[in-house]
Amino acid sequence: MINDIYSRGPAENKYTSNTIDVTDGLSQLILKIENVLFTRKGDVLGVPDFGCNLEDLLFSIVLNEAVIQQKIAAQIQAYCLPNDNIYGIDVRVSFFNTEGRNGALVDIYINEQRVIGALF
Amino acid sequence: MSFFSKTRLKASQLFYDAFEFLQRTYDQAAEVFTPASPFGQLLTVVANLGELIFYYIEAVATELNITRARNIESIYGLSRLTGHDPTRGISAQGVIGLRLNTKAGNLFSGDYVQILNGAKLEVGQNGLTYFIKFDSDYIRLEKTNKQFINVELIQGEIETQTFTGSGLPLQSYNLTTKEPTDQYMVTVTVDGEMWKKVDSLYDMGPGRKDFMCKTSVNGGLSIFFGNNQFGYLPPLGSIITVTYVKTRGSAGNIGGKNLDIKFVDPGTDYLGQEVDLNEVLSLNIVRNPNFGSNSEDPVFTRLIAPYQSNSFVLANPNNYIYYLSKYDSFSFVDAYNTKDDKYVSDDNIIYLFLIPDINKKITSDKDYFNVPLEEFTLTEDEKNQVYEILNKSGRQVVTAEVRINDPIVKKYAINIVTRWIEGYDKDQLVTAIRNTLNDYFLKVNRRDRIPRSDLISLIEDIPGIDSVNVFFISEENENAIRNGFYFVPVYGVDPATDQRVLIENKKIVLIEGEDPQLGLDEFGDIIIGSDDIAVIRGGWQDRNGTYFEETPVKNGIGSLNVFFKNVTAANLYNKTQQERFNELKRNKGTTIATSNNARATNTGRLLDNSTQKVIKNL
Repeated sequence: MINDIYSRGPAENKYTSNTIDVTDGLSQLILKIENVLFTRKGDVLGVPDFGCNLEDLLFSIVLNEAVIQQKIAAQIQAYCLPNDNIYGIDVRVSFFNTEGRNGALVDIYINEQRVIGALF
Repeated sequence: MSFFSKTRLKASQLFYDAFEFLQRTYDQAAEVFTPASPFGQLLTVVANLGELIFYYIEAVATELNITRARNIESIYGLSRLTGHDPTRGISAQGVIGLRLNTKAGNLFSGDYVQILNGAKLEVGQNGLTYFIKFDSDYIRLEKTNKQFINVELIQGEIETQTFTGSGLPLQSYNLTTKEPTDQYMVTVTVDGEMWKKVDSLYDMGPGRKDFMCKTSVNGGLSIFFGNNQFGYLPPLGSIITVTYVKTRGSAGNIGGKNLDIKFVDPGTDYLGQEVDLNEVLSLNIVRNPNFGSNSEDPVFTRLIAPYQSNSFVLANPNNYIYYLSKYDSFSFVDAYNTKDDKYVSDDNIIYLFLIPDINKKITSDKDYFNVPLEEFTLTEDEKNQVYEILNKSGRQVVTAEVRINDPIVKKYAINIVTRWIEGYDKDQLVTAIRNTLNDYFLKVNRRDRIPRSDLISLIEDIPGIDSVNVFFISEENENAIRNGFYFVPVYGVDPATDQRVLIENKKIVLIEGEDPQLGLDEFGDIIIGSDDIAVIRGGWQDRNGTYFEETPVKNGIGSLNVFFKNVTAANLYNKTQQERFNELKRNKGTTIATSNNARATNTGRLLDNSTQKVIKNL
């Protein structure tokens, strides 16, 4: 059995106020992926390579979607997946261009189901 | 704490045990302890903070020991506790003569040009700023005076900082300076009155207006005043002005006898009108700027600090070694007296043996092998300057006398026999060998001997050299063999004076075929006597009458000769064997430390920290 601290803040979506820990593997994996996605490299003392640096990746003018997907997948592989991984992880990045705005959408799928979506 | 063992005290072991304990206690899987997990991230950060705390504790302990301290501030600070005052820098100093030139009469009004003390000028040779210094506020050069007036020429720029006196006893003021400052040229005025510089609080008489100046631990300088028992204290609200000289150290030294001087500051005529000094002055270079020194190397500080004498006098040889070692113009400083003999009349004489640092004299168009021979010894001007430095220090005891002994120059030539690898250009190999040996002779200043194996080892590492042997040829030895005899000085004790004296130069006749190996030992290494200096230089003949040119020559015999004996084929087999040999050497620990493999540097430690290792192993 896996116990971990529930780290979502009140301002975040899906926050539940009466939860203090997570006990199932899937919830813990989602929390870990959120952590790695939204952490900037160098922010965690002693682990300088931890973090996706998403904003830098997405707004870099030299990286295409495939390269960004590969970099995010590498971070998840290194820091989030257990040794006996039973989940299929898929990272999808798509740039969009609407009137007055350019942006990017990052979706994380676990076992073909979208669990995290981030709009930049 | 049962999860820590006294036998596992390395940082990595402590953290590994802590992780294991938590894993066991809370029944957690290893993957919980990655930084992605909130629990693991907290643990990682706390573990790293713990390691940093250990690191800082270790650093504090290390930095308290002068032989192990790494921070320059720590080394300087600890040396200050011994009484040593680390050198901030020393300005190069020379002497120039000034007078009005023949055209000056029409260029300004009145009979004289007035030049202020501290007038700035630039020297074209190095582009640095200098100033002139004399013992009055100004000098006047009269049209009628054709004699040169000698003034000091000093590299650097004068700066001042001002403080307000607090009226308290033992006031101290710290001056932060961005660039090195001269060690000795510091003046302090309090409300316009100049105070006297002393070396110690105990040198301040009761109520005397004295101050002390020491190097700050951060490289600036600190000014200390006394109390009323020792010295005097600047009153509350008094204006304390500290004047010092920003210096570029040894970069201010200029060899030769020419200076390309351009005055920056003007003079004035009797009406107070500005006069361009470049148009009206004739200059006589009496002595080029010399003996400028850089800020003290912390490695040197570690060595020299124990020699500090708190008496601040030059009395015994160690005091002289300590004082002159502050000048980085010398590669070797020795001082001795003859108190160990029974003759007492010369016991007050301190003999100095000084070898100039060739690195400081060499110009870009010269190397060790063709720098003029006189650069290896002190010129008469330089010796006079040493005497002057010692006199000006004001530290010599009245009865002491100083004599500078000239080193005896012993000349040697080098023959190098090599087997080279096919495909390499011979001329380029000769150049590479010369450059390598140039570095060796400029950087290594051994005073006992020069081993052949040092040179062989260096040359062997040059790409394209397969095998090498090195032979030293001694001028003294070759002369002896060619002449069939040599002289050996025989010393004895003069019964009248009881002093060691040279009785005779005994002639030793060689038997045919004998090689006395003068200046060389049984290994063929150069032996350097205590009064000698070994120089790779030709200008003499060997036993066969072959003349060795002064410097290396391309098609002929000179002081450095490279002979190519055989060639080794550059085939795959030989390359493989060479690579194996190189690997063997690397494994013998000849790898040069870099920031990646050096454990002792801060960067190396933190990149390779134990918490990271623990996480990887989990």
